[in-house]
Amino acid sequence: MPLYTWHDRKKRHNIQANKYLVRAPSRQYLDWETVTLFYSAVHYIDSYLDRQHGIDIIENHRQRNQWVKVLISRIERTYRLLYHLSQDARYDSPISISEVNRAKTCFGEIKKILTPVTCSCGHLNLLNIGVCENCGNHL
Amino acid sequence: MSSEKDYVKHVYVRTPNEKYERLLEYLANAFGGDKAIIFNIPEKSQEKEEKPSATNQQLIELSSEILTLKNQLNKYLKVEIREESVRVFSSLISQIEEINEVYAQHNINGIIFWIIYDRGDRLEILEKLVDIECEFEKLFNNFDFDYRLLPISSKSTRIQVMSEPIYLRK
Repeated sequence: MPLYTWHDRKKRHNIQANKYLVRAPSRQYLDWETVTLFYSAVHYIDSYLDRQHGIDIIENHRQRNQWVKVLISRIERTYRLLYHLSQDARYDSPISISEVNRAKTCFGEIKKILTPVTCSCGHLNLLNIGVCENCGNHL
Repeated sequence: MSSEKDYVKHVYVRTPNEKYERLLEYLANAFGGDKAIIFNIPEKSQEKEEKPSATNQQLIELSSEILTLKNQLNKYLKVEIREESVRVFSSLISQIEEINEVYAQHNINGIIFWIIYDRGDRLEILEKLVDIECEFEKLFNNFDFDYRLLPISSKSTRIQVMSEPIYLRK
């Protein structure tokens, strides 16, 4: 099984966990909602890096941040914000609903860009930047 | 993977007054005793009114001290910080207004700031810091810029987190 397939499974698993937590009474797990969003994003990134660039070993967050900076700069700012929101959620004072909503927006942007799209020309775009990298048509 | 001694060589602490002396002692012990470099900045003067806000002034001082520290660090370590970059960094970080105190720790891989705040919204501050971080990433190679935001009410958390070397978070 290719590594990216495992990452794809893992991201779906984390998204399911997030949906489960969102349904919890009184939204009492806002911190873990944020963490599951972050780790879903991590697997979107790792899947892309493996599939597109053959990068299958990422040792730590620092290394991933560097790959994002160099290879997926479109999501760099969004990803860094989600990264810090997730850290705040884990280690610092209680996270607010506005912060969780911001984390959700960040995740949505990352997901959109890193969800592969097949163009009408038949080309599979692993990075969705709005136009097909093969024919230039809008996706 | 690097060992602890590869990471934590020096500690830089900025403190507004003597009430943090115990904390300084604690940090000195935690991060290598006599190898620690500690600055104790005197409390800000309240004589002049027509000067930048205390917070901004503190940040500007901090940036100039980074340059001083760079020279000291270079006696022991090969840390490359371009002065031009530090000036840009200084200009950027002075945009953060809703904070009370900034502490910073250097190591051979980067700098981590602990930012204690009691006003404003954490998310708003975080958004600004991420902008700065992205800018910082363009200016520096192999030198991390990292930060933690701590509410002023969490004094015990502050000490606990400040004693945590940066490598634990990577």
